[in-house]
Amino acid sequence: MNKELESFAYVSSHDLQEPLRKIQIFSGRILDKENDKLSDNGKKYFHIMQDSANRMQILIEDLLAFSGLSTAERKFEVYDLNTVIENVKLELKESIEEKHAIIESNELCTANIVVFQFHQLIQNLISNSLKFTKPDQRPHIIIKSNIIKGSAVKGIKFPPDRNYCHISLSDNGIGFEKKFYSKIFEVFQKLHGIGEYAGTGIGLAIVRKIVDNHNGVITVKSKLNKGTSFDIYIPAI
Amino acid sequence: MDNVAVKIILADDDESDRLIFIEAFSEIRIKADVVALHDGKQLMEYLDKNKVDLPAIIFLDLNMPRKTGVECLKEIRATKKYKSIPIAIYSTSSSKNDIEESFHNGANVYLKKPSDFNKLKEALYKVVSSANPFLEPIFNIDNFLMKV
Repeated sequence: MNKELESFAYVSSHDLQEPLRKIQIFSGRILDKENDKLSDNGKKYFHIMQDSANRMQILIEDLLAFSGLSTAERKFEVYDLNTVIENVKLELKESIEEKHAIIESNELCTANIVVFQFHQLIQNLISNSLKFTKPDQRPHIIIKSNIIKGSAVKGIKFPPDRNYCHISLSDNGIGFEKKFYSKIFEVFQKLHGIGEYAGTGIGLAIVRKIVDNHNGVITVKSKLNKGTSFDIYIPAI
Repeated sequence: MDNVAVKIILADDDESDRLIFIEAFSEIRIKADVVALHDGKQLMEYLDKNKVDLPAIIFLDLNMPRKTGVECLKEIRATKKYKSIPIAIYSTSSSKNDIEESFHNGANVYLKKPSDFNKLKEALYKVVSSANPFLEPIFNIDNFLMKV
């Protein structure tokens, strides 16, 4: 998305929320107050309306979060990535426990980051790993980091002498096919149908945007039914 | 607050929002006398005409024709007689700018219009029933936006 489109998205998202809120509140009123006058079908239709309106609300909120990334102030600070991971784990505590997930991370490096953005990045990636799991297997997420020379990164043309902080996150989830590698980072792209997995398809677009904001690169490797791994490279301190 | 009706003013140009606001108060266990006005200009005129019977609280929409919520807020805070009336911002927006601007101009609490009727009732109850909830010492921009 270019800059104009982003600011358009930001402004219009606020305006879009208003009529949507009316649909939500008044359909709720009908279900509450006129419930006995509705047939079972009528009730069902109202519930579908409400579900759709709620979904749209999440879409708008996500779109706002996404477009807000380019307008928000960026305060870089030297920060310990281990702290980011710990805070994200705390925030996702419920779903981690619910899925009995194992999250493993070794001593991660310290990096020059916009802390709240990096928190969101890690949170989106871990949330995805916790979401796209195989029903019969305990989710296992491994997070690693190391400092790597630009010349040592395969497939990306980095200045050879520059050092990069390389963060990798891999899981043993459902994975996906190679042909979707670039598609998954686009806004509103979902590989699964509505109802199969929750979400609006904006999480990884946010991830890539944040990596961009850090002058970094993100790549993905995945294998259907085996798992997915992301590699992030941002300039080292 | 037991028997005497609390006078509450809402200034909002959106008819359906006024409707749902009044309906919510009719279902809350607070005896309220709600005066619903259509914009900021009407609000200021109403206050000037009813100086002896000032409201217990004003709910103020931000985006209104003729006189915006923030313009009203500035005027009210600059007028000796109205200065101490608690003001709750009542808006669809939850943008940082709007929250900061109304905070710095002296609003007491910021309520984002909920999209669920029961949440609206809860929030209105909370705003009105707590005695001077916004004058507590810990009041700052971080707890200015009400969680609903």
